[in-house]
Amino acid sequence: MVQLRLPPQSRVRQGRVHNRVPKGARKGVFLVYRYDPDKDAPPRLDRYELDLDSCGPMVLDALIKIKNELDSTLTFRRSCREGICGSCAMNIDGTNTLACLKPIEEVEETVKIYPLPHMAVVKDLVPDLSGFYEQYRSIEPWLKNATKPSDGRERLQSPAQHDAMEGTYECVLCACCSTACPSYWWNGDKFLGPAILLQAYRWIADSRDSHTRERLQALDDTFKLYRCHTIMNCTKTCPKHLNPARAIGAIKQMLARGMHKKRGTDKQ
Amino acid sequence: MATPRPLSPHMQIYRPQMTSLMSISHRVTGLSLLVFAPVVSLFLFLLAFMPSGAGDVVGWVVVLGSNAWGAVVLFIVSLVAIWSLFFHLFNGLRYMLWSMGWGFGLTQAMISGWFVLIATSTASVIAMRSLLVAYGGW
Amino acid sequence: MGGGRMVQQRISGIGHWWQQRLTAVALVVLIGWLFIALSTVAGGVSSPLHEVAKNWVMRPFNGLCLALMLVMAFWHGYLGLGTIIDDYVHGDALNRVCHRLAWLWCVTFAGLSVVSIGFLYGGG
Repeated sequence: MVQLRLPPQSRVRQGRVHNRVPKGARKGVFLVYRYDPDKDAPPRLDRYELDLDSCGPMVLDALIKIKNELDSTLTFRRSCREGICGSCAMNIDGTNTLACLKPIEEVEETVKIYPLPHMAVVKDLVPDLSGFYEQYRSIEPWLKNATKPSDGRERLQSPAQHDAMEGTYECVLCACCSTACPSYWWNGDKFLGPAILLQAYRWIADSRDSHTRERLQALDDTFKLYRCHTIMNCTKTCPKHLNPARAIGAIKQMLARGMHKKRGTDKQ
Repeated sequence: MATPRPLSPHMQIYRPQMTSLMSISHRVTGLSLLVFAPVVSLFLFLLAFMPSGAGDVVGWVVVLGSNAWGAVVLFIVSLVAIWSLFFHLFNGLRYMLWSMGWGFGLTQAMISGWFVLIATSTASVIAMRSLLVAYGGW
Repeated sequence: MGGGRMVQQRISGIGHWWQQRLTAVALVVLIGWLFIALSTVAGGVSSPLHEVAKNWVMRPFNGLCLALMLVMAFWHGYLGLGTIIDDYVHGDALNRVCHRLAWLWCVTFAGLSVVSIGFLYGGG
């Protein structure tokens, strides 16, 4: 049976309070999920109070300020701080997004920060993404074409052929969408999830790839693809404003039309 | 590592979304219909093989309805059945549009979602009203 | 590299998908018919409800459509139940038991409906 509650050792307890706000300053309160793998203790929710006047505008700025000034043990992934690398994906104020793209102002009062939902936690806000990456590998995310380019050098695309891929290659694989999907929560071991299916579609839609049929065949599975019930939490939460639900719909349509059986490329 | 990695909170912390609430409602109303549809089957069975029994059942419902609390129960049960039917019907149409590749935009999904809720409410009110009128007539 | 990783036992979902959509389309049409048909009877009824219902079902077209609707409804319901079971019931044995029970539930009531309507059609 599916487990709707958290296992006892995963339930979040109340944590410590860290406060360094000068009198009269604009106070921001952050509740942050903490888990230390080196201690035999369940996760806890620590409370950090910050002076917002000396803090950058985004939630990531606040996390960095906490780490620099209040609590150097806080662990989170970050790199580009501008929504390009996808590292700082986490659950902020109840929805998944990139901390670097989420203004603190958008959250009313207390900012609650958790790791991406329903994932094994490595430490604090760092989830174990190895299963996610394994699933990415399983769709063979590289160009497959046995023929040589016609000019012997590169495979050209018309603007229309490029447009067919629009909204797929922009994905930064942050896993916000997949971990927002209830279906992925309950069957994440077998269901590929929105992010990976969007990437599967990226190669299906690519006019330069000649393995459309095989790719579609590989996706025709009750669990890999059809656990998607068009809940649309993925599209709702994508910090890059992409639409995985639409891509999955397109894959289902191609399968319904039997394109996994037809030879040759049927791309527009 | 002594203890296994904890599972991060999910349902407990994820803010309910209009999208996911519509989806789970589709599920719940579908299950509700699978409970109500057999009532129709059983009534047909009585009509065919025990007509007097069918008459008795109708009589019981009338007796139940003449009691104040019974009438409330009857009203709620009918409303749940009718609401389930219309919600599943209209939201099902929304799924059909998605199957044809239409309506995946976030705004479109919101609009179609609200349309389903409004259509379901309107149709339920109309159906409940005609049911009450018909009931009063008998 | 390539190919190997994707060779896991796959169960095609296309048939299920099509069945779900086609039964849904049939149900939209048949439920639409049901409401139109019912609204014409609902007007003035003087005799007891079960008599009215019986006479209504005994008309061949009504009986046929109603039987078809209930069969489609339980078929569609069985597909939906299967989806829900696969989503939530993970143990192999329990999963199979649930599928059987769902099948039993739907087939029983679909069968009951058809037999009853058939009996009424044959003159009661």
